[in-house]
Amino acid sequence: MRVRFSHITRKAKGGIAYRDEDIDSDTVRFGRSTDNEVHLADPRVNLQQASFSTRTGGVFVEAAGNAQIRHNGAPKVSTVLAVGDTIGLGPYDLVIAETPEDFDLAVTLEFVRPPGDELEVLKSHSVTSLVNTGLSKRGMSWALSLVVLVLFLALPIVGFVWPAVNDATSGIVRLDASWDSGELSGAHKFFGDDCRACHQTAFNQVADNSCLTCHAKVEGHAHRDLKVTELEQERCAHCHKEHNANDAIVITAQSFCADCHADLKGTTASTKLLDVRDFGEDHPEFRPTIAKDPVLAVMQRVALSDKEALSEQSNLKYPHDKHLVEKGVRGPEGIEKLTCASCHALERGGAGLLPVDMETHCSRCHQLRFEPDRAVPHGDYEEAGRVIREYYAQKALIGDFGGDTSSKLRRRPGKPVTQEELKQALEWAEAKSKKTAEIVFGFSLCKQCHIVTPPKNDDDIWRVAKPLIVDRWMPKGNFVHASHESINCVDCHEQAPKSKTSADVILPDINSCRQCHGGENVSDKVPSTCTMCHVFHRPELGPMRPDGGKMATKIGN
Amino acid sequence: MHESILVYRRFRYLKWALLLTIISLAVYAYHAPVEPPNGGTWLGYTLGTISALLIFWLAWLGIKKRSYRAGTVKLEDWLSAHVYLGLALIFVATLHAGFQFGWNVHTLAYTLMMLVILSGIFGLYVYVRYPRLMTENRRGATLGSLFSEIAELDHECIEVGAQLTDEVRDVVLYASEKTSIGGSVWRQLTGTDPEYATQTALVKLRELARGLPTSQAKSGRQLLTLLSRKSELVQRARADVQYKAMMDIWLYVHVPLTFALMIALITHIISVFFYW
Repeated sequence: MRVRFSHITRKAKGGIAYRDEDIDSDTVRFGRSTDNEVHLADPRVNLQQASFSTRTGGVFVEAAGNAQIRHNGAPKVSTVLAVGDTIGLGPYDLVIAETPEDFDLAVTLEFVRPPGDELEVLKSHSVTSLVNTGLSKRGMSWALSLVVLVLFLALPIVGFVWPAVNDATSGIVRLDASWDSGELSGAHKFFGDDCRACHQTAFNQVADNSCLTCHAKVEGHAHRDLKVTELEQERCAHCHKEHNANDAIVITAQSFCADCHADLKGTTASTKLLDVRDFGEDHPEFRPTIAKDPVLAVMQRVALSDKEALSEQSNLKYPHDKHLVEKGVRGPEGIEKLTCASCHALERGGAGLLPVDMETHCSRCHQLRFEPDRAVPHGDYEEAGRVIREYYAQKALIGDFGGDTSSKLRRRPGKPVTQEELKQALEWAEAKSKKTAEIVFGFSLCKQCHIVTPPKNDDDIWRVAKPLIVDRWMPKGNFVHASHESINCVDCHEQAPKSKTSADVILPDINSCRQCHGGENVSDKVPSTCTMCHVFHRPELGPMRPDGGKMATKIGN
Repeated sequence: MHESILVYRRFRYLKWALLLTIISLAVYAYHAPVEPPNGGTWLGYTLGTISALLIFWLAWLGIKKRSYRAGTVKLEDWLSAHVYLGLALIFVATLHAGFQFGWNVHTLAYTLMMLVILSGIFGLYVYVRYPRLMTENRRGATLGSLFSEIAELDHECIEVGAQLTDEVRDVVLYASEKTSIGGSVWRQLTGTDPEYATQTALVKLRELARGLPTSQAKSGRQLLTLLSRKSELVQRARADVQYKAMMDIWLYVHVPLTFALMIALITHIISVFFYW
């Protein structure tokens, strides 16, 4: 086989140089190895790359071993050659040309893919700086900043300015949820999704009228005529701090009260209140409000330490000691032992004690019968006197008077009662009533517990002085008896079993409380701040903001 | 220079930062508000104002270090103060928050601040540790000269390889064409490569060299030597890229998060007073 190879070399300036090489061989082999008929020196060519040979059907090109050849761009192992075909061998392209005379094949051969510069190849594969990886500080800064700006600043403001947007998205997301600075107190959670319920105006502190929507009746702290400016002008939120869960919505810190009450004269010169700083260390002795004159209903605050003045005038006699004797008292069914609970029961809620009541607590033993079949009513001495008189008058009228048969009015049937007989009966009834009243009021029944006054003349009646029973000795302190159920009554009310008279005020003094309770910072007792016993908003004072919070709002803003 | 930032002016700025931290802690301990400690007490507002001013001042370093105008304060002062006062911020801002955290923009600002500080601590660590590692690894060379040397070795390998079998040639060409240094952020940071073309080629070549005919044994050995040398240089170049990437990467966290922080901080302040 005779083949003409035209080696093409393209010059830098655009010219083309040809160099013809004629090869006469049965098989024309191509490869990197120098023993090939056509030596292709580029390292990318195999030692043996391909060969041309004549077979039936024409001249064939055939890949050597595992080498690759490309026929018109497509990988092939073997194919017949035709004019115009391009055979690719590594970086070389062979194009089959018109066969000249005396030749079996003509091929142009051109080195078309020069090797890359190793340095350039390495550089093109390598990225050696983060700058070239697509990371961008500027881009990331913008992206992150915009996300924060839009999600956390723009959207909440949009929702505030156009509530319709808020309403439209409320089912999906709360636009200003990210502004929530902390958990709301339990009572306010039910409207917690609506920030505008309290935050009504942008850049303005929450005004009192927001609070007064629900809390209009909240009472004042000091008498209005004392004109305590701080109390008049501070916003509700000054003390009631929201968004701290339940921790600060009602302030219990001792310092909150002591700020003023440690030196109250400093802020309110006319005050009669005593200074207080700490329950354990600096708190006045309790000053119960006791009855001093039951007739004129005079009540007076007396310190428990003022033993001389500490004597209550209630118009009632009640010796605790006689009722609480160890061996018991005589009851309707025999001897029974009384305890505190026999008369004193907790009221519903457990704070105070229910009032002691004659009918409920006393009358089982202290019956008011003056005859086996008749008793005087309790609570109305006029009625009681009347009942006695009427009882005996009625007896006299039916002739059942005198106590023995000889003195009974005797009548024959059909014969009218004489004037004499009537006079006799009335005298008997009057005398019996008077005697009985003396016993009932002045000796056996009423006088046991009450102050009674005998009639001044024949037209007068027995009187029972109205008792004045103090409902709450310490109305400014909220003592919850139920919280103290685990201890015995007499642990605190020590004097009760020994008290001989109702003039005694059987309240435990402050030292008794201090056995268990200390100030806010004690470590070995129950830390007790002012609000454990006292309230800030005092029910007796009426609304704190009768003006609807206008003044405080104005100043607060 | 790196350590001198830390000991600069005999720890002057460390002392300032400690003073700020101790005062903040002491006042916080003394402070007994009637409500739980939070950003809304007088101390909360005070610490918050200090923190916000500090954050903007610390961020100002980004502008300051680009300014070539010689100021009255040296850049070392700025950097030393930046490091120490930035660390003090951990305490001041946490006390400002009163340890109250939640899923809100306020804690977002705090979290971003902590991430910025943490990335800064990492940056400080690499700046103290990596320059020495880098110098040791380079042994006087530069990344550019390492690349040139690798390319030169590639060239020699191909020339020698062309004289040997096709299998050997294939391996040499593979090593030349597929070797890459660095690449994606992950590859740069870890110094890894999915192919390790040169090392793979070296392993393969060791096998092939055994089967070479005696006439080619010398070239085979020569090739092994060249490829081993190349492999070592490639590893050093990768290490160099890795160190550089470590020294750079923290800034890709520090800077964008600083911007996000400043926006979150402004949002925090606006939102607090918007819903006062």
